Amino acid sequence: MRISERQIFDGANLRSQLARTRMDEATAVASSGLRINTAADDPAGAAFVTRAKADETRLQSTINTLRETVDMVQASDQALGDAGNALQSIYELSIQLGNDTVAGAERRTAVTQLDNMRSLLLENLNRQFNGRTLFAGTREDGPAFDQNSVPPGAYLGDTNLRSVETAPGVTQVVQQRVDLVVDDPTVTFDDPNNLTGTPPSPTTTQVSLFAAIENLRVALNSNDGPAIRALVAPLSGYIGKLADARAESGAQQIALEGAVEVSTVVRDSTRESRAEVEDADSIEAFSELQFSQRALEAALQASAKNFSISLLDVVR
Amino acid sequence: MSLLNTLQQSGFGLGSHRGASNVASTNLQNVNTPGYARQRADLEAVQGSPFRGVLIGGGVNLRSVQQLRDIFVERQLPEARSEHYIAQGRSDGLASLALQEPSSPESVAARITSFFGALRALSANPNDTSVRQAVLAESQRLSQSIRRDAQALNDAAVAIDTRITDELPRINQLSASVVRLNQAIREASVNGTPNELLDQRQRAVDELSELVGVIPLQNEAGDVTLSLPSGVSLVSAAGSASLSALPDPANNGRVSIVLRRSDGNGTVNLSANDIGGEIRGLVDARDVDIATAAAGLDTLAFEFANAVNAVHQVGFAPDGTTGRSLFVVNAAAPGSALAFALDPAVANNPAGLQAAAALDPATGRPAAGDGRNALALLDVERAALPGGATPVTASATLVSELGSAQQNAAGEAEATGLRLDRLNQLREETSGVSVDEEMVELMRSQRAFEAVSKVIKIADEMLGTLLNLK
Repeated sequence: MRISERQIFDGANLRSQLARTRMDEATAVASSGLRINTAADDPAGAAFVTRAKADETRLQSTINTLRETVDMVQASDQALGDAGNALQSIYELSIQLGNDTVAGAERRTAVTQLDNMRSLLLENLNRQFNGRTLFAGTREDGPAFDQNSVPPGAYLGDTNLRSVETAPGVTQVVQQRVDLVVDDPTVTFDDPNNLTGTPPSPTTTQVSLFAAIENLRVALNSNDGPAIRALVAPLSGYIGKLADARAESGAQQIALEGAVEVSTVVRDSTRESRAEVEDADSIEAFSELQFSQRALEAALQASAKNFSISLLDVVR
Repeated sequence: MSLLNTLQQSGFGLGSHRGASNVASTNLQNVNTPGYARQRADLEAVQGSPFRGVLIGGGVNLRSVQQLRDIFVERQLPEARSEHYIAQGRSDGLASLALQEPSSPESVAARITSFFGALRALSANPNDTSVRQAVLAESQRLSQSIRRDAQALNDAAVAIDTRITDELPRINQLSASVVRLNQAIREASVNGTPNELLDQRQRAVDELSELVGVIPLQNEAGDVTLSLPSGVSLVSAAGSASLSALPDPANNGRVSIVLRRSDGNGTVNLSANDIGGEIRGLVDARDVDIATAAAGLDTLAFEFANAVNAVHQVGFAPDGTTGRSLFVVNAAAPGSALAFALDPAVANNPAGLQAAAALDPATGRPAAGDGRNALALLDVERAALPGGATPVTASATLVSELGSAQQNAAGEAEATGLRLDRLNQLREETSGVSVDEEMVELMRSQRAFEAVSKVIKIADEMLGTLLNLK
């Protein structure tokens, strides 16, 4: 094989260029920590990384939204608990004042106390979280129940319920129809002032929570012991309904926290899979960098030696 | 044979060896000259003349100076060169293209996902102005990301057009030079082989192979004619054709190449298949790879905008407005990526987002917490667009296909480059100048020159001896 001068120099150029390219690639991998720096490095891997990153971002936004929603559901749970406590006080008041030993004046005095308790109950059911009314359906910019209606407690919200996406294509309701909780068709009372049949007996009538409270107020004012006693049962019934609603709220919270956990696990798993494809092995990357540096030094030294061996240097 | 004859022969010999040393010297001086093929002094023994019944040699003569070229290699080189530069041109055309990489947070896929992330927050909290503002901001960033990639694709195509347009005068210049050199070589050949002119012509042909993949053919008169890969003549006995670039309305105004025949007999619109070399690679990169990516991005932008708009339009803004689009694109897919923008009615108006699904009969406006239409918009993220893929998958596929095209082009350029390098090595093995070898040639000529000088000196002394006889 005949070697021309151009071959010697072009060969040296080519070899040092190859070594430099390799070192440049190794530097890019080592400095970025990524095996895929451009789509051309690994087109299929790049597509996978793109989809995986999108999944991670989607899952993260789902997690963020769910966490905020968990906070809201916790606030709902707290509000329902506080409303239950207020109702419990009204219930206890009705038991206490239903006793025939209580004087009429004492019952009339208790009306103010009942009004305060009803206000407290309404405040709890009108509670807001981050400026959003919790129990008004989607009419979250106003109170759920009207303090000023006659009687107080008219529902101002709508019948829609908030939902959030917990997984792709899966939504979960994160609100309660409290208007139904406080107006349950199964809660009734035997109205002693409405007698029917032979012999006459009190009519069993469905009653809403706020109607029951208003009836209690009327009964206290009119010193009507039987009517007061008749309202104990529905008040007790609504304590149970509020407790049920609270349990439902707790179940929603558990489901949301579960969704957060699942999304977190899936996100971490996606991140791990992506890292396996995208991330460079740091030891391997630095070994390659070291090796390519040595290869470049060797290529340059070999070329320099090759250049120095010539008849020009021998023949003087 | 007389001593005077010896002196005369020696004189020729000195000239021949000086000529050989000149050839070695020329080789050394052209050691770095591109396209130079080393030359060899072709010495021959001069026919002897009879002397007392025997033939005695007549010395040495410099018969010719020959170029050393390996015809077998030379015949393979134009095709290999064209093949390599097609791949290199395609690779170069795509190398300058910089779409947002998959790891970039500004990639279209990343921005699509962030857009839906903002919508997710809006679905849970539709009455929060800052959340609405975030949706608009993400929509803007998505629009910018799509337009940026569309612009990058367009810029890459324009850059290729510019490069093609810039290369054509050089091609015309080289073609004309081959015609001139054909004539010069024909005229100079009367006095021997015009090696330097042959080198110049070969160099022009090599460069034309690189640029347009010409196929050379040498006729009996020694003229080289050149044709394009499809057979269209570029250089003929009649002269050289000229190439020019014209905008092609059928191809979005991209330049097409028109050949004006050397005989002046009309023009030919060249297609990609007519040409080879770097220009073919650039045209392929522009009309195949970049055009496919641009069409894919246009389709993605068009289908995505329409899918989002279809849901957004049925929703309600807080003031009860309905029917507005969120994004603006063209009426058809072409050009939609560059036109992708937020609807002006929504662009700077967070309250323009139609996140609610229904009007509240009590107020005639949607309820403040109604984010059901925003929730419905999230379906677009996971639903297949008419093209068959979800928006993120379509975007990832675009990046992947373009990356694959870049990788293939670079791989093809490397593979064809290896073949070309090998043939160039083989050419160099035959035609390249070796300093060591030429130094030896110089010393050999010098020694021969010294030896013949001695012969002259001895013959002169012998003549002197004869002349001094008394």
